[in-house]
Amino acid sequence: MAEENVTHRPAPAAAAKPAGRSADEIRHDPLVAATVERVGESVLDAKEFAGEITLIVDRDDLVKVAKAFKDDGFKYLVDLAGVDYSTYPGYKGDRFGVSYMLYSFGKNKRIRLRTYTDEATAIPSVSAVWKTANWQEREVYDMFGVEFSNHPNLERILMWEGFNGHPLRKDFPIRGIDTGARIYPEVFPEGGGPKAGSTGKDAKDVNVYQGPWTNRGFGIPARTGQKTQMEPAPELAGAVAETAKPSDEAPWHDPDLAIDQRLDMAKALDLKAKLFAAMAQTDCTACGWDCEGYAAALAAGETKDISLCVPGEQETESMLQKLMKDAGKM
Amino acid sequence: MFDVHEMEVNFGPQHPSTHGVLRVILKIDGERILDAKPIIGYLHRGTEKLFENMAYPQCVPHTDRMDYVASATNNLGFVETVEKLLGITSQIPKRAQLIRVMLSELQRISSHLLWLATHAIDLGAMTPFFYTFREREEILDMFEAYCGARLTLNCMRIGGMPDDLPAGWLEDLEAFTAKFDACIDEYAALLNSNRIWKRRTVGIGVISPEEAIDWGLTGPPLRGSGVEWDLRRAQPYECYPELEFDIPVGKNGDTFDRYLVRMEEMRQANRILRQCIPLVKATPAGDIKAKISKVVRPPEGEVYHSIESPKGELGYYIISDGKSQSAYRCRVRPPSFVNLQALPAMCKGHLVSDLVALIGTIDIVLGEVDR
Repeated sequence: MAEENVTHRPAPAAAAKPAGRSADEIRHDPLVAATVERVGESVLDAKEFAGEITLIVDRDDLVKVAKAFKDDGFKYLVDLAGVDYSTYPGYKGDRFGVSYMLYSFGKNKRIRLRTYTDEATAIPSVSAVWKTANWQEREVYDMFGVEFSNHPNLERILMWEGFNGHPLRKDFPIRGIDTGARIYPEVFPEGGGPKAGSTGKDAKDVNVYQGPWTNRGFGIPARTGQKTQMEPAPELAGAVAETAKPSDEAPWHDPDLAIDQRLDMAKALDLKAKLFAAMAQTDCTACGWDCEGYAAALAAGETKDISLCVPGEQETESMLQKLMKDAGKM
Repeated sequence: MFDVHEMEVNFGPQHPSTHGVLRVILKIDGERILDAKPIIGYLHRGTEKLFENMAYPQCVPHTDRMDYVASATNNLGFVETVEKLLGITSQIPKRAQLIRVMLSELQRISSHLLWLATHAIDLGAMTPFFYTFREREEILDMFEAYCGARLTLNCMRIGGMPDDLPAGWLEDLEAFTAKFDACIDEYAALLNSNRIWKRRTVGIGVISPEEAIDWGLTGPPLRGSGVEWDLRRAQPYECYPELEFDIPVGKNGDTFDRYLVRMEEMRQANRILRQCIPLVKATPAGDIKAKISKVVRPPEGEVYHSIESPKGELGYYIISDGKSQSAYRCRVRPPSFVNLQALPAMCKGHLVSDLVALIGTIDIVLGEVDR
């Protein structure tokens, strides 16, 4: 009995292999042929993978095609998913795709419609065809910034009104952005948030707090004062303190300079100065010191952890590692 | 002659009967609801964004945190979708399939027990809570014995299961299934003919089958309206075709019918579990994983796959670019999100206190609504 179960297993990987049918053959698939006949000129292309049919539909004729499929039994709009194709390998075309998963109770089959759009052009809403599209389109609008024309109530659904950016766009940073936009408009001015084309890796790409930190009841210790270690505060990462200005003894202490420029200024100096130049120069105190204090602590061996500089990210960490290795401290 | 006093009232997000952080802005005239507008997103954690930035196997624990009272079915939906993308669905060993089915059905029971407990408490019936949590505890103990966790199980892997069943697990399950039908009778005895319960649920939130389909309702809300549609039967996965079970449907599409549907679903889940036990015993021990490569890198393509979760149709839509070990896009089709959308249509004209019944009957989990 047990043996039988094992041997009766079907051959591996044969089932889901793409059938490799041409677009024309898919259009004549009995599942969609009758509908495609009626709205054929609006169906631009057809694809198939793992037995699932995708029809690429002309954006302007979407409602017409949707209605035709609904009339032919696809009464249930299962899902509506936005896709940002901007980083898809080898993809050329409009940036966003919106996929509509349809299901027919009578045929017990699913098909997928897809249409493409760019940032500026709205897609006609299908919420008049299927009521369920209402929230689903709002979610796509919220997450991708794709607009839907003739939608009864196109507003954000998961993020709040006033949130800057669209989280599922590929250029939205994975670590998120400061999200006080609505609650603290004086801190996070409108129009902040990630800039188009930013990688999210640079603190300057996002809208960071520039004013004095009053809520924690302390100021960044003045550069002349003693360097005491504060409690690590990772939530401060990305804030640029007022002390982050170049001075005569530390000309590299400027968050606007690139790391190699900064190190160039410190190349003739001692290890502490070099380490200092490798920091992100924001004096954000996320590591527990200001930038100079962290460099001093590393140089003096008070700490061996080179991963504490949050805004400096990988480039600071690898530079610290190199400097420490060169100095024989690691 | 009559004065109309329209008022706007905030219901939630910190209201205990909103089952989490749902906020509903109500427009009311006295106790009568004129309009309702659900505000969601308080629990949004960007799960879909996270999926795009981690390897496929790393996503499984994150699926737990969507519908956190039914994590096994969340796992199941995700791993099956990736398996479909890889084209290895047919290679999953029979024993792994059966363990998946058993865990999903136990999860269905435990999710429905939690629903029943909270739904009843919302409507003023305290007692069922103590009964249902007694049995739910046993199910959670069985989860703990299998994978070490009780709530966020992370109990499935792409290509099979992480572990074989521990010794004595099937005996525990056998003992549980033997007595569970009688437990359902106990809950039913408390509520089925309870006059207060019926006054609070019969005729509340009626939704017609056509409307239910138009709103995209799935799961018990759809079946409560009389549409006999269950993905385990319509588009079967794992070894459901070999198992016998009935699909309960309601007649009137009201809150009471949805309650009856879920009660019967628990019985049917128990029936499935009883059938699984001898089938598992007949499979070779340890045959729980398909032989697949350690690195999951699916071919270029896109798939949508869905399963019948306790709440309804839980679907995953994954796009793979064929080069990366993480999904280019992974969209979750959450049943709670879609079902919740029908709330304003269901509650118009009802009393504010009925809104509590309606939120309960949709059976939402905000972790899944907001993802």
